[in-house]
Amino acid sequence: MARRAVIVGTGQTKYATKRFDKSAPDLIYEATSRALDDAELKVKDIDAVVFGMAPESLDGINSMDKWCADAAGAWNKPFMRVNTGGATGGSTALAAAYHVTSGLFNVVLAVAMERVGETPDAQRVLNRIYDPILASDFALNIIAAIAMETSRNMEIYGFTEQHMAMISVKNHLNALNNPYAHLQMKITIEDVLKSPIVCWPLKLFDCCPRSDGACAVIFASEDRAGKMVPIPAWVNGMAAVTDITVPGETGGAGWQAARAVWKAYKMAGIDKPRQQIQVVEAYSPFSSMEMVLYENLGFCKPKEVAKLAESGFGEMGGEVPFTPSGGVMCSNPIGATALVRVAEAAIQVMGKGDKRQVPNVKTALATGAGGSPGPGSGSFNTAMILGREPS
Amino acid sequence: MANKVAIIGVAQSKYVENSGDALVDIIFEASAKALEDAQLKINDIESVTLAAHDMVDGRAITSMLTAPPAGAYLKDEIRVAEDGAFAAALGCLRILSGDFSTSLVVSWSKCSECANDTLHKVANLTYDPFFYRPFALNDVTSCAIQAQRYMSKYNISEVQAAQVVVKNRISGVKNELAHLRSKVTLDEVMKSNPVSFPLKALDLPPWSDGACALVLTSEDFAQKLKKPCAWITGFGWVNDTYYSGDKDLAELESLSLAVNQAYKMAGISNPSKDIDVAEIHDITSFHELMEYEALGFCPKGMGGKYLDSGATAIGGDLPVNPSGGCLSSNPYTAVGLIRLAEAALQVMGRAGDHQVPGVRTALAHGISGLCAQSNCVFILSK
Repeated sequence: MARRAVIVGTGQTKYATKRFDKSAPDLIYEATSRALDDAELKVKDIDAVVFGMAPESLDGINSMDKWCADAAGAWNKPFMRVNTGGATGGSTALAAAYHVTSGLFNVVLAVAMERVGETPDAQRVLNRIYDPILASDFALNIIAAIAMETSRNMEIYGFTEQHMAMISVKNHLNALNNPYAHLQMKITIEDVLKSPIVCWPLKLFDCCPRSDGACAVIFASEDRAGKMVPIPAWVNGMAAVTDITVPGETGGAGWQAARAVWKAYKMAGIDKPRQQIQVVEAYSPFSSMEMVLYENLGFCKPKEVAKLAESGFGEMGGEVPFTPSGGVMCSNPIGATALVRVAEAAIQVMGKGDKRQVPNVKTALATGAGGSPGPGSGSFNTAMILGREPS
Repeated sequence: MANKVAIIGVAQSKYVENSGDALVDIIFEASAKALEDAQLKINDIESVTLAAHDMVDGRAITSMLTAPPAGAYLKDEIRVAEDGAFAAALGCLRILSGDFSTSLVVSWSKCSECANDTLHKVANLTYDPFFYRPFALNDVTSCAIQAQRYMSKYNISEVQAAQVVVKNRISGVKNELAHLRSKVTLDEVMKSNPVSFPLKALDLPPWSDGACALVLTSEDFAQKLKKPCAWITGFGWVNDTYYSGDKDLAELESLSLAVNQAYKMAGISNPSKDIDVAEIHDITSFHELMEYEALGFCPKGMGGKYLDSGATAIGGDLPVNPSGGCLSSNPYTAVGLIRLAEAALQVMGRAGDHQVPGVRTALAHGISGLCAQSNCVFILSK
C-alpha cells in the first residue's frame, strides 16, 4: 500500500424481513448518517462514495445506486457502484480502501444496501445466476448448492448435523447482544435439529434469513486518522479472489476462500492466525460454512473442526469468538452483508461493541463470499484484516 | 499524480448487431487479445476490474459466469455496475495503491439478447417506482427532455445535432471494428423516424454486441517493458443528482466537475488547444454538443457553433470521435471503455485508417446513468 487506510466510523440500520417504514434511499440515508455521526464528520468531509448492491432483480429497480446516490451524500462527488453478489460488501470496502491508498482521496464512504424483502422469491432470482443453458434448469439455487456442498464437506471435514446445530445456537445467542440483528431468538440444539428440512442436510435454523437493511463504513487516510477518532481500525490486509463456479469444475474444498484470507494474512504479517487474531466476523450464511472456515482460515488442523465446535472455540468467551454480531445467519441484507462483517470487525477493534464486545481485540478478520458456492466458498471471496495498530 | 498509470494493451471486438458467439466467448476473445497486444501472459495479471450490468446481461449476478472468461479466475477481481470507463478508474486506483502492478479491465454487452425494446424497459426500471417510473421515462425519453431543454436554452437547432450524426457516421466508415459503416446525409438524419422529440432514429445509437479490454500497468512495470504505451496523466469521475427536476438538464455539471479534476491532475489549462483528439460518449447527437461545452472545448451554449466551425471533424482543430463514436457502435456498458481504448490507440499512433496525425494528448469520456448522471473522464499522453 502506497499509504495506509483506516476505518473511522460505521453505521448500520436495523435489519428486518421488510423495512416498509423506509424506502431504499431512506435506508441508505440512515446508515450513512449514523456512520458520519460515529466518525464525527459532516457530509462535506466525504471526498468520494463507493456503493454496494447485489443483483438488481432482488430489489426490482435497475441501477438502484443512481436513485440512492443523493441519500449517500454523493451529489457532485466521485461515485461508483460495485456488485460481486454476496461478496459485494467486501468488494465495496476494498474499492473504498483503494480510493484512499491510491493517495487521491482522504475520506471515502463505503455504503451498501439490499431490500431482499421486495422480492417474493429470492431463491428463484438466485437460480438466474447459473448458466442459462447448462445449469439453470436443474432447479439450482443457493440453498440447493450449499446443501450439496455441505453433504460433501461433512465427509471431508468430519462434522455432523449436530455440530452444525451447535454453530447455529451460538450465532443466534450472539445476535441477542446485537441491537441491529434481524433474528433475535434463543434456540437449542434440539430446536435446530427438529426444524423443517429445507434441503438436506440444511434445516431451517441452519439457514440465514432474508433481510432489508444498509451498512456504511468510513475509510480515511492514515495521516487524518489521529485527528478524527481516538482509536481507528487500521486496514492491515485486504484481498479478493474470484473462482470459477461451474458445478463439477471447482477445486478442492474451501481452498478458494482461503486464498483471499491467506493473501490478506500475508499483507498483515499473520502466520499463526489462532494466536494473532482475537475475533473473526465470518461470512457464513449457513452453519456448515462456518465449520469449514475453522480449518481453512488456519484455526485448526485438518479434521479438527468438529472438536473445535464441541469445545466452544468460537463462542463468546471462547478462544477466538466467531461472529459476535450473530453474523449472516441472523441478518442477511445480501449486498450489504459482507460490509456488515467489515463494520462489525471495525467495531470490535475500536472497542465499540458494547454487549457483543470481545475483550482486548488487537486484530480482527472480516470475510465475504458471493456467487454460487463452490465447495466451501463462493465465486467471489474477500478478506479484510483490521488492527488496533498498523502492522 | 505522483505516479502514472500506463495503458499497454488494447483489444476490441468487431462490433455487430448480432454476434453468433456466446457472451462468454465474446468476453474471452477481447481479454485474450488485450493480453496478446500487451505481450503479457495471464500470470502477469495481478488484478481484474470489470464493468457489467446484470439487467443488460440478463443474469442475476452476471460476473459469476462472465468474470472467469474475462481472466479473473483466481485473481483479485472487482466488478463495477457502471459504464466501462469507471472500471478503468477503479483499475487505476488499484495500481496507484501499490498493491498491484497490473490490472486487466474488461467491459461488454450483448444487446442482441435483449428483444426489441427490452433495454428501454430496463432503463425505465432505473427510475424509482413512486415518482418517475409511471411517466414512461427511459433512456430515450429522458435524453429527449434533456435535448429539448438544451435546444431552448441555447438556441441549438435539430440540424446542428444532425450534423453530429453525419460527422460520426463518416468517421465510422474508416473504423473497421465499427458496427455501422455507412455514411448518412443530413437529409436522411432529418427525415429519419421521429422517436421522441427532438430525437429521430438516426440521432440515437444502434444496439451492438461486443467487448473491450485494456491492460493497465504501473509506471515502473511499463518502463521495464520498454514498449509503446499511453500514459494516463489525469482522470476524474463525478455523479450528479438523480432527480432530473433538481438540475438544469442543459448543463452537464457532473461532467464539468469530472473533467476539471482530470485537467487539474494532467496540468491542462486550455483544453481546446492542449487536447489533440477526443473520444466522448455520444449517447445522442445532442449530447455530443452538450459535452463540447462541459468539457470546455467551447464556451457555454456554443456547442452548435463549435460543430459548425468544423473544429471537431476529422482534419479540424480537435477531432471528436474519429472512431465513429457510440453513434456507430454501442455495446451499451462497454462504450466508455471503448472511448478510452480508442484514445489510447490515437496516442500510440495505432488507430489505423482513423488515426489523427500528431496526437500527443487525448481525452476519453464515459457516461453512467440516465440523463448523463455520472461522468468519467481520462486524459492520455504520449
